[in-house]
Amino acid sequence: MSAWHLDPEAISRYARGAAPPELAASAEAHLMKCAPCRGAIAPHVQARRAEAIWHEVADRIDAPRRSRPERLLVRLGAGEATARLVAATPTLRGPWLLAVAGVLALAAWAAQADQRFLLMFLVAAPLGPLAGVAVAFAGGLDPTREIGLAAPYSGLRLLLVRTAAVLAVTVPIVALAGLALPGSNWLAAAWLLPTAGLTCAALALTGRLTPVVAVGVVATAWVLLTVPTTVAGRLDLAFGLVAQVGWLALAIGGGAWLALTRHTVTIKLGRTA
Amino acid sequence: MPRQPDPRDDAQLLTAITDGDREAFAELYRRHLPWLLVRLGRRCASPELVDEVVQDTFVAVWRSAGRWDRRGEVAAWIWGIGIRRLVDALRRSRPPAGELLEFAGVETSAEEHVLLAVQYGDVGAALASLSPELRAVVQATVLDGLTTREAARLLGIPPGTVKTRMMRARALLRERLA
Amino acid sequence: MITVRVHGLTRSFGRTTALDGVDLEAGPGVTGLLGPNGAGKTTLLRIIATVLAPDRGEVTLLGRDPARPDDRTRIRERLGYLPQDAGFHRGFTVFEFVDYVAILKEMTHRRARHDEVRRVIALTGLEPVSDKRIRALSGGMRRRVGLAQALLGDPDLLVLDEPTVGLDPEQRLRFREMISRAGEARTVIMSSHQTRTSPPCAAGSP
Repeated sequence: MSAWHLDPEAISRYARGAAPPELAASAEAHLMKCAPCRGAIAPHVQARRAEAIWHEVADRIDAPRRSRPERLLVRLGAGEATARLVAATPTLRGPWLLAVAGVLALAAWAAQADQRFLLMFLVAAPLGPLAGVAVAFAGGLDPTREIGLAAPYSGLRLLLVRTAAVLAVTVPIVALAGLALPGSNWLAAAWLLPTAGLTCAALALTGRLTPVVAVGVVATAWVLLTVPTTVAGRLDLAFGLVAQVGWLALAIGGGAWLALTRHTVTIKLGRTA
Repeated sequence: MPRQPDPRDDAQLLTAITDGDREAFAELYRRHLPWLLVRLGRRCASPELVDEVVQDTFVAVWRSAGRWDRRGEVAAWIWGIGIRRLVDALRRSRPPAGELLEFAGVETSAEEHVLLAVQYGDVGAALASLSPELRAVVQATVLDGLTTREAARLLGIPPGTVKTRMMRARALLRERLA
Repeated sequence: MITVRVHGLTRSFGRTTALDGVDLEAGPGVTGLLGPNGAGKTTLLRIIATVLAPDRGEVTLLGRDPARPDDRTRIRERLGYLPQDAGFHRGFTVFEFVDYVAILKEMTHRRARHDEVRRVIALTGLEPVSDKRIRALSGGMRRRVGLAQALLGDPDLLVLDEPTVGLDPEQRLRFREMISRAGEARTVIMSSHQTRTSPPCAAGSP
């Protein structure tokens, strides 16, 4: 292209957004190749706006890079604060997740060999996510728990964020292991609603008990219910259609309770002095 | 206050940025922020969203400066990053405008149409003679270099519509420039 | 001006009574709690830091009652706490950790938050190691990280539980200097290990 440049009038019109479409099109094509014309746009941009954007950019490149899970969460739309809290959750660590996956894979593999192991898988399946929730709040594993308790961030919000994160990670792992089970498909998914119901029940109990104890209570109740019934061959009592409706009701009820008491819920401390 | 203009060209600045040269980055910002702001601003009605996208773009430039393929203009590379960020951002939260037709342009009178056609040549005139919907599609795919799907997101229409309009536009332009 | 008032505070854990009818008043400046281990200092500090609720007694912090949820949140917004066994997440750098606590303190606007994080890091002399992982730092440096997070948001009430334990005498001196500088503008309550057998008592030293 020859030394053709945009005249000042054209630049001014373009920068103001007052250029008709074909002028704008030509201008934009030209600006891709011409540094002096690009410079001529600068006076038409508010200095304050340019400064403000620069400060944000400078801060972001100075600050340390977020870890990959955090970046993923932010891209998915979670707020930056939420993403950081999830990333700092003790349960969401490689070793822990591998342990859960390993145990379940073992159970699923064993189920191929022996029908009874299938039942064991169903009984054990909700315990994985539940244990994850408990661990996320167990004092020994969250080193900043004490500091976090003194911070204004809502305990309930932290509870919900972490629980959701733990479930989002552990439930697919369990589901994947379940796919390896022999037999009909519905059985492999029969543990989903019970997990939801048990989790909501545990969350609702955190108003009165610490998260670890609440999960323990709920998990014990589950085992006491399912082990005798499955051993006796009465799978439908814990996993049948009526039971599934019951688990759903429990989930909804627990959630409703939590919503109603949200202003008074504080996560309790369990350790002695 | 008088500042010595940085003598390096854009390609050299990018190389310096890869080594972590903040001054080079600041200079690149000075050179390219204004036009990027205006150009993206013409494709999105929300200034806040544009600010955010521009911010994301320059952070991406800093972090991926080493990945420029050394072909073509640096400005084009920056534009590629910016327009894709805009498309992503619009996918996540559309400003409540309808279909994007007029790229924040202004309707021209008939006389201006003719004058500008004379000044900017045949292609300009042919483009101007297209309806707003067809013109928008041509600008998104040809000028901005977007794929069909990206153009669909930018303009707020289904990808199939983008394709049909492109075909119609091409046919019309071929006719008029023949 | 009294900012911390505690009256008839009682707290037990199972069959152990950690606190039995404790009274305390404190205002701006540094107030030290002296007493041997097991005398209940940590329990008292935890109650003042709103981390633990008492069985009986009245507590008023910064003019508010921590037993009420809304007041408790307001108090925590003006509170900084360094617990005795402050732990850190593995792999966090100094900046990341302080930033994490800043998020817990509800500083949502990223740039303002980062400015504040840099401010407290500078205040505690941690700039040179801001990008280092905490697990790679010495005990004295880690304590300083703990103090930095407690200073976030410029709190009116600073609660420090055994902040100088494990430090050598020189580090301890420097830490004490930082604390007393902090005490010039706010209320600092800290505990300290003592081998004298005396019940926990407040020894005010503004």
